[in-house]
Amino acid sequence: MNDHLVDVKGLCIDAPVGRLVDDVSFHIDSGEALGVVGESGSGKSLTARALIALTADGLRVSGSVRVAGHDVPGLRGRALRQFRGRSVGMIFQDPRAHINPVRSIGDFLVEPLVLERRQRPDAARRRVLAILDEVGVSDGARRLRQYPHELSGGLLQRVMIASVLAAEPALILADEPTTALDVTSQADVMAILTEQRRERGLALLFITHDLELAAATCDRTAVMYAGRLVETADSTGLQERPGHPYTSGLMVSRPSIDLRATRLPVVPGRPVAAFEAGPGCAFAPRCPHAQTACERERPEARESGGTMVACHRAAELAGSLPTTIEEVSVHG
Amino acid sequence: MAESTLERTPVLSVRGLSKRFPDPSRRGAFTTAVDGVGFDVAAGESLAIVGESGSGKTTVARMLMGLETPTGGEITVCGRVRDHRRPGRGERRKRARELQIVFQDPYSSLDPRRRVRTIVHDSLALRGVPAASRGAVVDDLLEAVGLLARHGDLYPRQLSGGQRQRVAIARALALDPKILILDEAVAALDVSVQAQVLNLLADLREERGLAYLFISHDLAVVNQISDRAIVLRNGRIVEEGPTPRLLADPQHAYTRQLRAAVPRPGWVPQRRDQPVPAAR
Repeated sequence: MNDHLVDVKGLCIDAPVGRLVDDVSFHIDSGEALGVVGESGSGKSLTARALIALTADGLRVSGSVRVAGHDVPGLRGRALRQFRGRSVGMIFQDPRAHINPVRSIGDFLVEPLVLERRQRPDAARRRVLAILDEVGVSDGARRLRQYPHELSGGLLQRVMIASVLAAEPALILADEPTTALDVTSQADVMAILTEQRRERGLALLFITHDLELAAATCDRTAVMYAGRLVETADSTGLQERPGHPYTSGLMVSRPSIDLRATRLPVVPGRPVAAFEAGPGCAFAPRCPHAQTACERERPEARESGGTMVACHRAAELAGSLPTTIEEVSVHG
Repeated sequence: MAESTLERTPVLSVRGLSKRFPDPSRRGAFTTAVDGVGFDVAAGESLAIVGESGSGKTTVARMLMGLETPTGGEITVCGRVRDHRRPGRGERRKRARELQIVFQDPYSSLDPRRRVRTIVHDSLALRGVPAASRGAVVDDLLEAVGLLARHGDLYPRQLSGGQRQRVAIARALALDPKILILDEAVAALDVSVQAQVLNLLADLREERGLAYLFISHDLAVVNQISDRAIVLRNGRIVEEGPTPRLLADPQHAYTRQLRAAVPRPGWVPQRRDQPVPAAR
């Protein structure tokens, strides 16, 4: 019945202040990479965390979350630990906050294989060294003796990737894995992650605020606003023909390296959380195309040809939304 | 444009600036963070300092602000050479009116216990604006950075990141400085908010004839905000020139590497496949 590796339907996350994630549905197939793009408060990280039941205690999660055949909200205790350890690997924004600073890199990488996978310590060590080499960490034997503070951020993030690859999960969750890195380290880490993921046929959920980075590294890209998915499409299509005014707004308001605009086209206002949004389309107050209907009624997610757009005016606007600063300047 | 820039006297002039820090892992040894850096910023000009973390760009900013003492070189601000002695009260006030800074993180750079109005108000007092007219000037400044008068009554925690960064800019402007140092000042902002703040900075420069020293690792942002740029690597300038030229036709391999790493439509990330230098 259900062959998607990840199948999320009607995911809602509620906090005491109000709703944070609102009716999110998406799927990821085996070996596929999905990028989820959003600004702060859009609910993108919460959505990723819900996939491994890592949402904070005060939050109520409802809807269906199925990952690798498991009904995630129903997992408890030992089953949950095994699911987290074996089916999913997670890479976070700040590796320093997730690697024990008083244990060596060797302990961090080898121990899970010995304890969780019952491998012999010397075999586990050999395997870890091989993976370190593949992710471009030179001089692996010395690295294993080092401690996290002795490694740069880029190097530590590769250690993090190595630890995820060693666990052989079916799915990698990467939450802003390069945001704390320089542009050159970012390109390097994303290239390694993409290459290793493809080689091993792993699926990826990539959370980022950078639409261009997501589109460059993922098969499909989803855009989140105020706790809702507003658009999902294959990455090339999304960049060439954005279907939602918010997607287009993100693309044109980002400065360009090739062109200097007299003024950047601006999306007025600030991003809001789901519970701050009105009864209509959450983006309507900031949208240049909003009409009365947009403020009254929630747009439904409409699918056609693998593309999903939640916008009342999607059909009218199709193909006309700008993708670059130049187009905006020309159109006034 | 380039000629008129040359004719003007620079508001900021840096020659042979260096900073060495004691190396904590080896006694008696030093690491060089900044190594013989020199540049001029003309009145009203926007100069970008581009580099990765560890390139020394923030150390340059800290030395200009007097937060670090240079190991060598000379800093001239508004025609006055900065000596390295501890400045007195009068001198500090004078310097505050020449050079101000906006930091990257708007969450840690504002006093959480003071209302926005008080934060800006205090800067005005420092400048010697008469008490009676400060209130009106605060309102003007808030308006100039795109905030409403009612935002003045709020605490920083009640504001969004973009609004806080506007308060930090208003606080700096309250001293009516000649030069504003922007240290990764838009890096922490959401994409849609970042564009608003970049436009605001462009407007303020035009209206007030401010000079900017814009420190960033983001070449696309640098392209939008600066006239000239210098590229810093391991504390040294490896390339400098007008920003459009520097980005369109980078001469140094490192500048080309930085440029190639910027995501854009059709871009694919590349492995460097060379060992990454370990952290110090």
